Amino acid sequence: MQLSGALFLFLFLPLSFLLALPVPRAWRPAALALLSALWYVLANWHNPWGMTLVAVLVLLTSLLALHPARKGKRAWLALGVGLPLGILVAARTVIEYTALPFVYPMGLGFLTLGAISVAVDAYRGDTERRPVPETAGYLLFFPALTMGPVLRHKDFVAAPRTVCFSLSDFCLGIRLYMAGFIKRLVAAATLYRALEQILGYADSLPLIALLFLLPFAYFFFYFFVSGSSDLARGVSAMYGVRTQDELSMLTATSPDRMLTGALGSLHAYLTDYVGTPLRRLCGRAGQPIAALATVALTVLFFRTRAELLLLALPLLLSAVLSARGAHAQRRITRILLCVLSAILCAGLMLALLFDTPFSLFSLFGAPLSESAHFLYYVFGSVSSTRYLILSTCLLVCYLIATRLAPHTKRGRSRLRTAALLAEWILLFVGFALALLYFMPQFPQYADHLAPSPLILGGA
Amino acid sequence: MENTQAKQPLLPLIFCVLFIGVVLSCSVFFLTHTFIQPSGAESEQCYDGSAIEGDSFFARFRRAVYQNESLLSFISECEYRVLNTVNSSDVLVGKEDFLFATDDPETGYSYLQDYIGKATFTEEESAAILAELQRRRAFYEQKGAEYLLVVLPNAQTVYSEYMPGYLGNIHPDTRLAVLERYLKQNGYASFVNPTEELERHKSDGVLYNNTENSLNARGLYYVYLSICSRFDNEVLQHITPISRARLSFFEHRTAGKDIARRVGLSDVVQNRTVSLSGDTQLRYRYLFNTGLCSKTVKMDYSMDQIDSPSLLLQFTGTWERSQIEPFFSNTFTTVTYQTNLEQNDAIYERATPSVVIQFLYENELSLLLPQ
Repeated sequence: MQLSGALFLFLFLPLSFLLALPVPRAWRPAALALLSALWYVLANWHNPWGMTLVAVLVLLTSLLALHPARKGKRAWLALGVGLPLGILVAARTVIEYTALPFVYPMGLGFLTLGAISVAVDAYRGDTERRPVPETAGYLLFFPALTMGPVLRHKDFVAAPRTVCFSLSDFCLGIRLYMAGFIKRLVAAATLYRALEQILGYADSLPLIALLFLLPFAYFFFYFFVSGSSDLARGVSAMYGVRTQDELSMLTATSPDRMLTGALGSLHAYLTDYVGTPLRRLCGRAGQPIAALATVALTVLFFRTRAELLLLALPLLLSAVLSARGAHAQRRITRILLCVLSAILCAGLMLALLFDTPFSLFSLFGAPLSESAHFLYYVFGSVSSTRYLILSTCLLVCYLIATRLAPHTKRGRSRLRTAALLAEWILLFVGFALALLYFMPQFPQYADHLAPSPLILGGA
Repeated sequence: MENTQAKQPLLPLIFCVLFIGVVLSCSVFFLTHTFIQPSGAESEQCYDGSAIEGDSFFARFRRAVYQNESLLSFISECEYRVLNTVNSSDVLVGKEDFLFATDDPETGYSYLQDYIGKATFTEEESAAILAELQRRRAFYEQKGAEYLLVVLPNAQTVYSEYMPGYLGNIHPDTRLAVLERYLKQNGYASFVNPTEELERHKSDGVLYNNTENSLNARGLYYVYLSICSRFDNEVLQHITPISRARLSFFEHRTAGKDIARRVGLSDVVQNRTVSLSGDTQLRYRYLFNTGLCSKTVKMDYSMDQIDSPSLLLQFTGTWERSQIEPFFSNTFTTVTYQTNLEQNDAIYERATPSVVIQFLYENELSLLLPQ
């Protein structure tokens, strides 16, 4: 039950608000935990063993958070970190190396990170003894459970939770949700379909086709990740939990910030829990090690696929440059890093669309002499090309409206209102269009975590 | 931006109310469909071709959303009318409401690859077809009949100007063009390609069904004329081909045919059906009609027509057979129609033909290759 799916939008969302509205303020964290548990059960009803495993992990972590150690803190920390990691590794091992009929539980990776966060924050004294419903509500917090962002326990505990009674949060949530819905189901889904259709001709495409395919893949990645993030942040805000802006993937608009932006919350998480202690121990080398850990965890999350190592290069380069200080500030370095990141990011997306590793570059075998006609033919016959043109027009209108609004601050208030109105109208029309026209076109895409070739084990 | 919104709470509030209204309306609509399940409200499959299985509440609800017939029809219609495209990589939208198939799932033939010259016959394949045609001709000559193969061109071959512009002109090395050249080079003449005849008469009106790769009655009339023109003068002394002036065709709109049905647009893209007008005189009667084969005899033939050749026409489908029948049966004294290309001795004996004509569509040329 994804946040962009029909079951969530038309059933769970309205019903959950109907259930949550009458709950007294004091009971809202518990209500949120119950809603999250209900969501998890509904989303995993076909996987009882997976649910049992997750229930054990949530219960044990919540009990640990209820009784933080006064003595033997290190042993308590080892237990708090080792238990979720052990469960994750065991689940992975069973899936990868045995034929047991065990289905990987949804969101186990995020749950593991959350459980570790509970232990580390309690060990550091950032959080105090927390009641079981609150910790369970944090671990199972459904808006962030499938696509992130990775929430740290101390941030979640510190966030004001009013569960849907704050009008401004609710409006912000709806705005983010509509934006995320459009990004995922209009922009990303259309780009994905276009890529899939064009790659159907892969053995007849000349290498020059990569010039078109790489930007498509890059924008697909951007809209997919930022759309998913907006959905998660929007739903969180609707339920009264504001995620921090630094966790927003929306900010990752430039390619050099794309990778760290796309994995922004994970990066922040690792910098806090791995990078900071390492920097204390190793000095500047801590940052590259944290970047390496980000890559290692990403590879682990998405199951081993050699192309994922493409992610490592710009991340490591970026980390090394920033460790060296002033060099990273040079404009040329930033531009080069930007181009490299964009190409690698897009290359990775393209590579993941093929079943077998490294089959991307072996397929573009057609001679260059025939390229012009054939490219025209391929792009012309792909029906999604028209959608791409349409969605590009809509996107440009939206960007103009959003860019215009801040610039009208100095202007007359009527102009400001007009820009704001235009932005809301475009968002609403886009949402209605996405709901009635695009959503039924992408049943697999709306209701599932990601398009099937990109589900490489799931987080 | 968020600060601006905070200062103007009314605007976000209005759109939030609209959001809630839209979501709740959809919820009620889809829930109603889930519980009531009105007949014809659910499509057999989703837009992407998948189908949602199961009978649980969630499966039924998802079907009500993703297999909603009215929503899918709305999407298909919008795509066709606004974007001029259809939800299938197997179909191309042409000009003048023409729909063209890109692939033939039955034979594996690709219309599109052939059109752009990427599926042409090799020298070996052409030689194999020539050998097969020679074998057929020898078989019928041994029985005392002439043999003629008529290849009915694809719609995109005759109406290449209606194909999407990005495909350019039809490639000179299509299968049909290559085969015709090869047969001519090797002196094989029992072969009719009516493409030029059809192209010459496009101004008379539409010759093909616009939603199916098949000729209509007007197109088949010109095929009939091009076949008649192949008979030598001795035969032509005994027959009088029907002139165009004596015929009138009736053009009307019907539900979209095969290709339109494939993309769920049979109600949106209507077929321009052309048939012989009702006042056409049918001056022949059936001697027998078994479904698989039928034989007609002309009722008011004169003594000089008694020596007109007796024909055995073999088709791969029933449509062309029914549409072409009035032309041949009103011209030749006896005509036998067979709805397959089998060399059937029983039919042959009942037909006693002097000429055997096989009709094959361009997309069926691979049937001539050794299986």
